[in-house]
Amino acid sequence: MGSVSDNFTTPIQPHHSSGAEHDEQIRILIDESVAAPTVAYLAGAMVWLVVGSLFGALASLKFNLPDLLSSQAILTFGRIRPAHLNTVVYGWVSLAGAGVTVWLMGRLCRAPIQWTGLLYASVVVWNLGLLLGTGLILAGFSGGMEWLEFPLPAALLIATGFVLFAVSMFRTFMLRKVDHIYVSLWYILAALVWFPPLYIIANAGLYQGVSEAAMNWWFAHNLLTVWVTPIGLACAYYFIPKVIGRPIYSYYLGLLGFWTFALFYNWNGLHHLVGGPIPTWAVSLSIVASLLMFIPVITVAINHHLTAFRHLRMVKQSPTLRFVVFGAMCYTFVSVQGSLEATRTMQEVVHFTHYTVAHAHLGVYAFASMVLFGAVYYLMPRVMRWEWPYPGAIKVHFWTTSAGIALYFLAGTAGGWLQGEAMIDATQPFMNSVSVTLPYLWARSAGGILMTIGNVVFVWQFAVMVRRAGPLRFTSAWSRITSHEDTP
Amino acid sequence: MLIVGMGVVGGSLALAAFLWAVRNGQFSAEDLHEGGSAIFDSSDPPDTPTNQASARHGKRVR
Amino acid sequence: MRVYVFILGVLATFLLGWIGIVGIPAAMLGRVAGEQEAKRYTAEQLHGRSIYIREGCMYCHSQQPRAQGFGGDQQRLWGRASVPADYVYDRPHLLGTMRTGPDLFNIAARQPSQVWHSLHLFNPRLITPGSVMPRYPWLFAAKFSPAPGETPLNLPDSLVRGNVVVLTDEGNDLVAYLLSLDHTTPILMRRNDSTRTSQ
Repeated sequence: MGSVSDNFTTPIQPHHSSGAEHDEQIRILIDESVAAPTVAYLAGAMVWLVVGSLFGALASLKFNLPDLLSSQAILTFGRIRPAHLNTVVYGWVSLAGAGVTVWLMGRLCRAPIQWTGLLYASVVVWNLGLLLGTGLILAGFSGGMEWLEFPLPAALLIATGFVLFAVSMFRTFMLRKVDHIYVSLWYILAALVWFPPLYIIANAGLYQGVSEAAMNWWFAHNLLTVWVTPIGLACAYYFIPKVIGRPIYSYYLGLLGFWTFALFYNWNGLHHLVGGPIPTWAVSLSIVASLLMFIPVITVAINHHLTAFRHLRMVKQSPTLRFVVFGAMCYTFVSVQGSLEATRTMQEVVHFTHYTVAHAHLGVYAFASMVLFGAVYYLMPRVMRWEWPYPGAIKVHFWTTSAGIALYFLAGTAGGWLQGEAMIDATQPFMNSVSVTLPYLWARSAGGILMTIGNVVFVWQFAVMVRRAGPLRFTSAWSRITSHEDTP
Repeated sequence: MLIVGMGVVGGSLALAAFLWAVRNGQFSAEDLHEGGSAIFDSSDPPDTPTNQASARHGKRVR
Repeated sequence: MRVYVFILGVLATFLLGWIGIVGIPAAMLGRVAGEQEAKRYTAEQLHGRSIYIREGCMYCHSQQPRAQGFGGDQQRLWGRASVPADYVYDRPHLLGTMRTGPDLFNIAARQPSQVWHSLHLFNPRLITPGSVMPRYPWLFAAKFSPAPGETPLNLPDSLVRGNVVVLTDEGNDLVAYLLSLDHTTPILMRRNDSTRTSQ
């Protein structure tokens, strides 16, 4: 399984037999080879993070201020909302995920990235697709299905961008110089294999009526299954043990966790259609699969949290760990919540409410985005050879985003629950289910605005790093935050 | 009740398949015991936290 | 060698899921036909449906009344529980996942008046105080006097200042679509071997 092909100017020794300096040299050289494509993906991701956050904040405010910017079609809620969803998912999360994956591949394969030309082409094509798709949605051209609003030309560009990325990653993997394929790499490889057929089937227009609805929600949930979650887990499996310096708690559990994840999570999609005109047996299958997710989620929780809890001081001190451990804990939480939410008992109340929206944000922001923030904090000094110059800004970023998503989640969950209770009680007028949410929606908007502020601070820091601007620092952001001069 | 039953059956089948795979040597012993250490090497050994950047040499890089 | 086994296993888990919750249900549903079928949409209604999609109405409105005993849909008189045969001409489907506003699958049965829908789309808060629905002024045009066949909206003079406000063609088509949303009559579902009516 180890490769002997040599694409590298210096002869490579197997990593376990060489000296520390040699290993370090190789790592620095690989980090250099990966720098430009990684930064290219991340730069695009940053732009879409800001754009997507602004769309989200506007959409949220329109609930309490329905006449806000309501005279232009291009700014109507029904277009801003899908613009928000598609830019944060296919823009921020996906481009950041791709950029972090490129860097991780270098580390996990201990080999330089292959065919980087494909990666640059991917960045261009992908961002073009996002621009086109977002513009089309705002102009009034939508695919009409949630998570699939980008019309076909834009979807084709994004599919192409992903395939180019996947080909480069596979080539790199084939020329790897490691004997062992680390657990993060399983998740990444699975994502690379799963995403193209998922996206192509979903955009192929194979069905109509309720069959298409089943396909729609198989797709939307599977986007989390095959792309967002695997990348988040791959990061958590790498950064938590790597920063702490201890291997994960149980590799065997990691193996069990991966395969039960792959087996069960692919069946969850129809839990979005409980009570709907879909064959009951199929919906029940999805509910069962959603509950079976307890197995992989608990194995992952054991691995991530036990490893982190033994080193809580480091979690406080390291920006990477703060974000990644926060994210990993939210993964456990959102998954347990999701498994229970899928049951008919819960769905009767919370289906069609803000409860589900809050759950979605817990997953995509509190888990995936926070983990990606942590990953970027780790890799950027290594690819730019420049330390994060403003530790204060890192603190601001962490506290605004964590407080923001906590407020968002609590407000959306409480408001959504009350909304659902009012909705299923037919003795109450329907408008009660609307009016009861209004104060919670204000709080949710406040949370979203906090998140937006934090995101902007993060993007600003990224821009500073790319230019290697700001005060020169010899010690990592870790020691500056805690002012322990003797911290290694 | 049906759902719980389906869950138990499905989960047991999956577990059985997994245990078969492990026992039939799909995964080597050394993978399971040493796989977790694959992210370390002699320059980043275990028990050394790595939140340092590679710029720890202190050079200003432009 | 083990890498290929891994990739095959990974693809298998993906395919299994698709077969189980999309492939098989779709194949079974494909054989469901309606006898008194869902009515096909007229060209006008189809155009209106595309405007419903364009303006994102489905992000606040569902089109899938739930069955008796699951939620309060039946008590709210939102219409019988919908069945797959109701949606055979829907492409894309508009089942929706949010009820910021009420379910619309039978809105034409609850609100059959074009005047009501026109006013409501112009500014929902004119009809329902406290509504958070956006307004859609671009589906309307202000003119000096209505053309033949056009019904001006009954708006306070302070709003229109001597003009009349009428629906544009797009607005008309959207209202036509909304007025087609009536599935209160039972659908006779036919399968290979048996007939079955919906509730």
